[in-house]
This record gives sequence, C-alpha cells and structure tokens, in this order.
Amino acid sequence: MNSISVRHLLGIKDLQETDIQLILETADRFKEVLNRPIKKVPSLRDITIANVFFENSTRTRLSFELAERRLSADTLNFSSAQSSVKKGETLLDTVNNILAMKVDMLVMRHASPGAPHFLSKHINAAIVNAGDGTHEHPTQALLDAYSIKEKLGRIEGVKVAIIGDISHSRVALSNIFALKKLGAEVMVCGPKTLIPKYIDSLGIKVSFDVRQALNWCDVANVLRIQLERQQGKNIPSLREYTLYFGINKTLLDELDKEIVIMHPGPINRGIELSSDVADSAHSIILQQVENGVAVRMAVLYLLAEKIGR
Amino acid sequence: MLLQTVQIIDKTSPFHLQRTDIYFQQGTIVAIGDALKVPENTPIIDCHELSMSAGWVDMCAWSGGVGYEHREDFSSLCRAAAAGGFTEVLILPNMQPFVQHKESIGYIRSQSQLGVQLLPIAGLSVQGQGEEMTELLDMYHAGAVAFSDGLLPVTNTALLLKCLLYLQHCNGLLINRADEKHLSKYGQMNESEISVFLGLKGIPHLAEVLGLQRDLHLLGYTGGRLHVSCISTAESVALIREAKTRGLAVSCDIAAHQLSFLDQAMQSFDTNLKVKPPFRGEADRQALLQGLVDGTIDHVCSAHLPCDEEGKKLEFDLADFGCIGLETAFGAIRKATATYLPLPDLIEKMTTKPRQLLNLPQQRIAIGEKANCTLFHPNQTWTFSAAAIVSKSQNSPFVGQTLQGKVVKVFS
Repeated sequence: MNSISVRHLLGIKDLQETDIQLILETADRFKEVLNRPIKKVPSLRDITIANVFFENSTRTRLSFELAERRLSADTLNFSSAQSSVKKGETLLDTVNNILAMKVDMLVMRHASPGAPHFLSKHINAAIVNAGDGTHEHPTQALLDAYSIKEKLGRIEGVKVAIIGDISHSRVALSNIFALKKLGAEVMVCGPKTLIPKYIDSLGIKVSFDVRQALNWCDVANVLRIQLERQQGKNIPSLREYTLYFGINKTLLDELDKEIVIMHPGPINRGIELSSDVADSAHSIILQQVENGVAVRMAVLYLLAEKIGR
Repeated sequence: MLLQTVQIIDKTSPFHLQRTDIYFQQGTIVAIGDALKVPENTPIIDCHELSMSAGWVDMCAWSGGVGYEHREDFSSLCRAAAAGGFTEVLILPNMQPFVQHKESIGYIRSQSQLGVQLLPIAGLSVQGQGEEMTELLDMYHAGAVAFSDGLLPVTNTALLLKCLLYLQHCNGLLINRADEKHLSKYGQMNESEISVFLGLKGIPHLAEVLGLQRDLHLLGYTGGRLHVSCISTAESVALIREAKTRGLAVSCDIAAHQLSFLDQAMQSFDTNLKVKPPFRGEADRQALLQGLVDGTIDHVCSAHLPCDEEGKKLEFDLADFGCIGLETAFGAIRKATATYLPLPDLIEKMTTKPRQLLNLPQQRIAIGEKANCTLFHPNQTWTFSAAAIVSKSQNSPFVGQTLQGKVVKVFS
C-alpha cells in the first residue's frame, strides 16, 4: 500500500499529484464500505481525534465526525463558542490543553489563514485543516474532485468554473490547486470586487461574466457569498448580486449543453443559486456531501498510517 | 585608549579611507597619525581589519519606555542601540501616554545612557488621533528633534497641511509614513501573487503611493520639510526622486531589514516577517537599492519595533506588526548593499545625512573632537543568534541568518 507524502493535511498546495490520486482511490474503497449494511471498519480504533472548530460549521464538522466514527476512532469535539478562547486563552494554549489528554490527531477549523501551519510548528499531533480563513479547505477540494470524477469519469481536461465570492473563499483556492494538479482547466468568475488582483498568476482563466463562464465550463462550482467574512462592503446588495451573478434555470436553459452544478454549501437559496437549479438533475450537491465522508475517511486513514504506533 | 591601524570613514577628514592610529583621552580625540606614541598602560585595540566612523544615527526606533516597558525600556533600548553601533536614536512618540508635552521630551532625553543619546520625536497630533495639533513649538524648545505621529500615518489632510506650515516656525522636520489607510487597513502582507496564494489580505503598493503623492502635493503647497519614513515600493522611489528634482524639501529612508526579505518568505507564515511596510517583490528591492545608490534614499533606519511573545506567537493575522532592528541594522543593510553601495556612502546615510536633516551637530573624526564614533568590521560575516539578543524582545526575522558587517564598539 502506498503512503501519503505529508504528516499533516495543511493544504492542497503541499500535496503531490500522487497523494491526491491516492486519497481519491482510498476514498473509493471507503465509499464502498459506506454502502455496506455495517458501515464501520476498525482501522483507527487506537486513535483519538479532536475536532476543534473555532468557526461555525455544520456539514464539515458532522462529516469529519461521522468519518472518524466509521473508522472506529475515539473523538472529542470542541467549538469556540464553548471554549476558553473567548476568555482570552491563546490558540496554542487551548490546543495544548486538548493534546495533553493524549490526542493523536487534530481536525481544526480556524478563521486565520495559516493557523494550522502555525500549530504544526509547535505541536506533535497530526493536523487536518478543516478550513483556515480565506486560505485553504483541502478536504472540500478533495471531495469536489472526487465528485467530478465520479460524475464525469475523469478530471483531466474537464473545464471547471468557480463562480462567486473568490476573494473570501478558501474553497476556491483549494479547488484551484487540486484541479490544476489533476489536469483540469479552471476559470474563476464573479464581481470584480470579489476577485483578488493577481489571481491569474495561479494559471487560471478569469471572467467577470456569468454567461461566459457557464458557456465555457463543464462544471460550475458555485460559491456561497461569504457575508460573514467580508471586511467592508464589496457588493451593493444581495439583491443586485442575484440579478447579475446569480445562477438560475433561465441561464442554464440558454446553454446548448448540460453542465454539472456543484456547491460546497451551505447554499444561500435564491441568492447565488436558485432552488430550481440547486434541486435539479444537473446538481450533484448532495453527492458532494455523501462523498465528503468517504474522502475524509481516506484522509484520516492515510495520515493515521504516518503516526508511529 | 589607542586604536591602532583603524580605517577612518569620514568624507570630510583628510584621513578618509586611510588606516592610521587614533588616540583618545578622556573622551576626546587627542591625536591621529601613524605609529602614535602613547603613555604606558594605555589600552590598545588592534584595528587592522576595522573601520571607524562618526557615531551612527537611527531616525526610527520604538521604545516601550513608558507604558510598554516589558517590551523595551530605555535601558534595554540603549543597550541594543550601542550593540548596533548607534550613538543617537530617535524615539517614536507612540508610548502610553503619547508623547505630546514638553515634560515627556525632557524625560526621554534624561533617560539617555551607555553613550547612546535618546532624541525624542514629538507627537504631531493630540493622542496621536490625527485631529488636533500638539504644542509643537513648546516641544521643539524642550528638545524634540522631529515631529511625527510615528507608527500612525496622518490621514487628516488638513492637519498635515497645518503642521507642515506651523513647523516652519522652528524649521522642524515632519516625519510621516506614506499610507492611504483605507486601502491598507485589513492587509497582512504585500498584495501580490503570494498574498493570493496564501489567502492573506494584501497591502497594495497603491496605499503607499497614493499616501506619498498626497504628502508631496501638500509639501509643494505649504513649503516646509518632510521626511518620508520607511518607504518600500519602486513607485515611491521614483516619486521622491522626481520631487527632489523639482526642488521639494523631501527626504526619505528605508528600514534596514527591507532589502533582506521578499514577500515570498511569507509562505512560512513566520510572524517575525510580519512588518509594516511589508516585504515586497524583487522589482521593489532593486528600485530601493537604486534609490540608495543614486541618493534618492537619504537614510537607513532600524525601524526597531519590539513585540512580546504574546503579540507574535499567534495566528498570522492576529499577530502584531514589527521586528526588532537595532542590533541587526548594519549587518543586514551592509549585506544587502555590499556589492552596490560603497561603504562610505552607506555610512554617510547613517551619520552625516540624518544629522543634517535633524539639524544636529555633525560629528567628525578630528583632533579635538569629543568622541562620538562607531568602531566596526565592515565585512565580517556572522550569524545572528537569539541568545545574543540584548533587546528585551526577541522578534527578529534574522535569527539564524548570516549577516555581513559587525559592530565592535561605540565611543561617546
């Protein structure tokens, strides 16, 4: 069995293409497990994993938790709302207190870009980045890649348009890194105020016209407008965003081809995506969620293999 | 004390670039010449690889002095300054309380020690809030050597205009940082391909350039003297070069660390590299080097900004900006400029130029002069280690790095 080249999953940018392929292949096997009557394997029964979430999350936290349980790991959960962070404890102190309880792996979400990289210099436990601010969300990109491959049978050569708030999205950045490594073509699209200058340095196409992006792509990965992460107002109103950048059935009907619609969730229904698109046959949004568990099982399994035990 | 075969770096001296002996008695240079005869028991330093210049001046250092003593008090600052070769250090007004009364000016001056003279920069606006002028003339007469809100760029254009006018009553130097805050306030590093790659908010060149353009326009309108502290972009070098050609009384400096790192280094998320202005790209670095060579950039400052561990051992976007710089300033800037900028030209930017801008008496290496000199090895390479830091704070990006040029001692 091959092993992954990293000790932590801090970001897609640290992975080799072979690592990504290995994760996707391993996820295939775990997806098969998840479809069995008994959905549990004993692989991580000697491993304790802390899910440490300093930012709100529903699906990512649940998905990790389920993946851990399916692998028979012991888990503990922590979120900043109940933590000492608000009392002024530093990140390092909080995490060291958790690790003192003999935890092997840490799944962390944090609002600061680089927070897991910072931790990796100061602690021994294996770290899985479950989203660090506007930087990376590697498991989301892996499950997106897995879902594209599952739907279209390949990733190489597929044209993926990432549409929406690119500036405040960790999903966009991790998707760009993952898709590029796997040979897909990538375009980002959104209002000019939500696309960082210099984004084209990542070797991708940039469009400011949703119609153009939809016409170009095979897959549209539609991002949530991250109202909570914006500093200062970057668009005049959600209403105007929906009018000029929202994706609805009329737009899709104008295309002379069928495209796949993805969304990392949670959807602002009726804003970036209309309900009739989100719930249509084009959409693989729920498959993404389902695949998320298998992909996270694969990541945890492969990283646990690197822990000396 | 006798310094034997030391190279003198002083463009005004007939001994400039010569190796000779210098004899000090009771803090005064009493003889310069070859093979000097001195009384028995005179301490002798063999200086055959060393150089001596007038004592170095730093136009930008932050002391916790009052309010943040745990980060740097005046004693530790003077120790760090002496270790870095500085005999005069300008102290930023950003203390708690803000330096805005003549009592503070007198107090800071009174804390000078170890041969390092502390020269206060008076706060420009009340509480550093950028709204109302402080008692600038009163502080000038109490010994303030320049006027600035220090780390806080003045955004209120009307205030800056009034201060530039008012300071002409004492021929005072106004120091400002070029920064359009609305464009930079969320930024964590240089806006570039690297900031996109790291998902970090960028500080665009535009913020510095627009701030500078405004300040230069004001200076053209008001007259007076403006010093732009810590420039970092190629565009700023070009703007100041052009303004000087037009005859504006503008001068500028760069932080000594500015040429040592590029924004690419931020990929480590090392918070000791989080400085303001941020480390930029290679084109900027080259332009700053050119600005030093052609004289556009007048001075190299330490930009000494001690931060405690609590402010640095943090998530990158929560960490404080700044790094200590007094002890590494010469080693860093000499290493970065050694093949471009002749040593006497660099030394001029650390001695004659700042004294001229600040209306301070020039220090010479000449018989009869009171000793105010720095003895240093201009080319020695050495590794900066955390254990050797004398500042109270440890936030240096140079720990473990090799520097070129090492200070031996200051005489003053």
